[in-house]
Amino acid sequence: MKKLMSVFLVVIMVLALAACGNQSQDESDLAYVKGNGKLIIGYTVYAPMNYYEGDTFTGFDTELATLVCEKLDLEPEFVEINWDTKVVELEAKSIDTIWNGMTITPELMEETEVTKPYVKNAQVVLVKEGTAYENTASLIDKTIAAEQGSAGEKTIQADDNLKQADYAPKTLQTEALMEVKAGTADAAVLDLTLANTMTGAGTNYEDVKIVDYLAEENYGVAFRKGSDICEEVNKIFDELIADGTMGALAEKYGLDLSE
Amino acid sequence: MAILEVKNIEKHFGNLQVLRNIDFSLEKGETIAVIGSSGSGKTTLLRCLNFLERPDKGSIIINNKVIFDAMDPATQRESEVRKKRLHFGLVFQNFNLFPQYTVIKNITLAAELLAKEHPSFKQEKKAILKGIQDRGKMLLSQVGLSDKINNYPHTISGGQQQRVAIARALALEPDILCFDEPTSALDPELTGEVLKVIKNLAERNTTMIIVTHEMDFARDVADRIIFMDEGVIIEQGTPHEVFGNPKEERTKQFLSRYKKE
Amino acid sequence: MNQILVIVNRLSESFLLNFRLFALTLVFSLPLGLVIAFGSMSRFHPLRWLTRTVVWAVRGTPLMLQLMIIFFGPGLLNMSFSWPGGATGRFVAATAAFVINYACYFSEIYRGGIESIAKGQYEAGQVLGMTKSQIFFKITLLQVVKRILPPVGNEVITLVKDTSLARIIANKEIIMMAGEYSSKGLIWPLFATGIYFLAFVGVLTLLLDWLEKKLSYFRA
Repeated sequence: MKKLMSVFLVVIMVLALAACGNQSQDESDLAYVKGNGKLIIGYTVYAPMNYYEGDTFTGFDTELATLVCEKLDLEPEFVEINWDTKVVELEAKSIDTIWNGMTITPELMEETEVTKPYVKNAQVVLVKEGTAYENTASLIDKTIAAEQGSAGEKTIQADDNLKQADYAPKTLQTEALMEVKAGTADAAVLDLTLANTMTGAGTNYEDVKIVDYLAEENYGVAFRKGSDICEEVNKIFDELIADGTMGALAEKYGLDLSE
Repeated sequence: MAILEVKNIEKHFGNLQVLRNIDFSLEKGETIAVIGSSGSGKTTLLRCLNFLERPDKGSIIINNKVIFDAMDPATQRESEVRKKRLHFGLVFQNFNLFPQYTVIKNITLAAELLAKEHPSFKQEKKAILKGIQDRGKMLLSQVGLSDKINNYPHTISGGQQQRVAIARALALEPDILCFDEPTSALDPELTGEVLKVIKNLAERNTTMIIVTHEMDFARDVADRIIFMDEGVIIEQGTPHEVFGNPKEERTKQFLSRYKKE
Repeated sequence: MNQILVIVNRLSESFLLNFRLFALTLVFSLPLGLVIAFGSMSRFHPLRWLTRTVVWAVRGTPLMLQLMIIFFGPGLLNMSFSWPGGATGRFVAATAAFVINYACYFSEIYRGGIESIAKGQYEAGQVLGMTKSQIFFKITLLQVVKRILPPVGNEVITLVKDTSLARIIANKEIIMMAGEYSSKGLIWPLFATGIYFLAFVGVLTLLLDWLEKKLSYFRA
């Protein structure tokens, strides 16, 4: 796929020599979208960020983006895209922003203008309440469960200490949780989002606690390189954090905000 | 008055001079057989007459009217050429029947298309088309194939296909009917039926030019023989003269090969 | 059970996009291919050269790449032309890319078919006083059709599968729809898409066989 992208971009660069009817390139991105009266938001169906509840389109990013658009006086237009070509879609202006629980990576920061991190994701270590835990070294020679093929599994395999534990692969993340509760596993490594939803007060797993955050990553919203919309959105994020809206939204969907 | 006069025809393909200074004339009702070895230019000559090739030099005159002159581009316009082709009919060595049409349709198709260009076509459509159909059936019976009227070409033999091709060429009432080695692609058993049809046409005084390898047939049917070699007419005369008493050396050489067979 | 029905419903709906793309592509590319074929057989050298170069370029690059060039090109090159917004624009762009691509493939099939008809057929028409157009439509066309039916049928069947490439510019066709489920951990919808394709190709195969049979009354 990456090779195809680079071939594609070379072709486009060659064609750029024969481009016709150029628009001004110095135009402000914000002015451009305001001129259209809308912000085209690229997403993929991905709970809990953007998904359908019956016929209603909802999700953390859906609601957040809608709020931000209100503040910017723009109409939000959600367009489902192909994740592989998201940056091309952005540059070709078939979308104005990528807003879909997107992990901030160095490549992304090079290719696009990214907001400050707004939601935190991680793989978390969970143990039954009362289990002693200092750091991952505490789990050497213990039993850890995780979902087969998941990011959690990768994290275990990447960690020097966890590698030395007894790994019990499960079919589903929820099964890993069950093992910890039942005592047949000492710890589980799961997605933070799922852990938040499934453990804590009022759940079946009240006695299972998050004790460590591994493989931390942050989500950000991407705009075209050099876009001035980014700054505006950052400001609005600050506002929404200050007045508690962001926090409430995060709690509704079981997410953690970035620090 | 000759129905056809061919004057000074020359034709080359690339570096190869295929026809040099071809001169002959044809009377109405006359049958000419053109003989000679392969590569002598016989087929090219026939194709020039039918406007499938364009001569580099020379002229073709029908009924005293110049229908082609290499020097005069006005005679070479495509729109004109189409009409001029109708003076001639051509029967191909490989029949070239239209495979997707029945025997009768093969015969009547061209006439029906031409009829549409007739000014009174719209009013007399039914009558005109019936006339074409009747003529087609008549020609078909003339070549002895009435029972194959609705057959498709691939269901009849080569000899039968060639006979249909002859009927097809006759359908447009050409002034001169040409044959390009009509039996060369046929099995020996089947050549007879085709030669019989051609002989029959000769007896009815159809004006014909037949390029053929069938010497006996040429001798029997033709009023005049033209012997060609390397793009030139070496000798022409009655069959008696050319076969019986050839004057030129090359004619004698050619005929001696044939006599030995 | 209910969930299965919902998924099947959504898959069926998204297959309609594949079908519409398939139908529109054929409607436009089959005739366009003929135009291109004549261009590549033209006696006018520059036209022939230009046509053959375009056909080479279009057949020589992946359809996936062409889809991206056609849809993203105008935006990336800051052209004054831009595709209409939303799903419509993506569908129109996909159709354009498919039509151009398949027209080029068809043009080569047509050209091969036309050139393979014995010259004698053409000459027989000529000596019978037919115009070029009459010869083409009354004599060569049906013979060409019979000859090209197998390779054209092949392309048509390939097209059915190719339609799912439209998802590269986010047309929500059946495989993209199934992908939504596989990313959530539900695999069967993806494999179920195979049934749709199989069924559709099955119908087409029957149709093509029937056409071949209809043309078998003569031998070209």
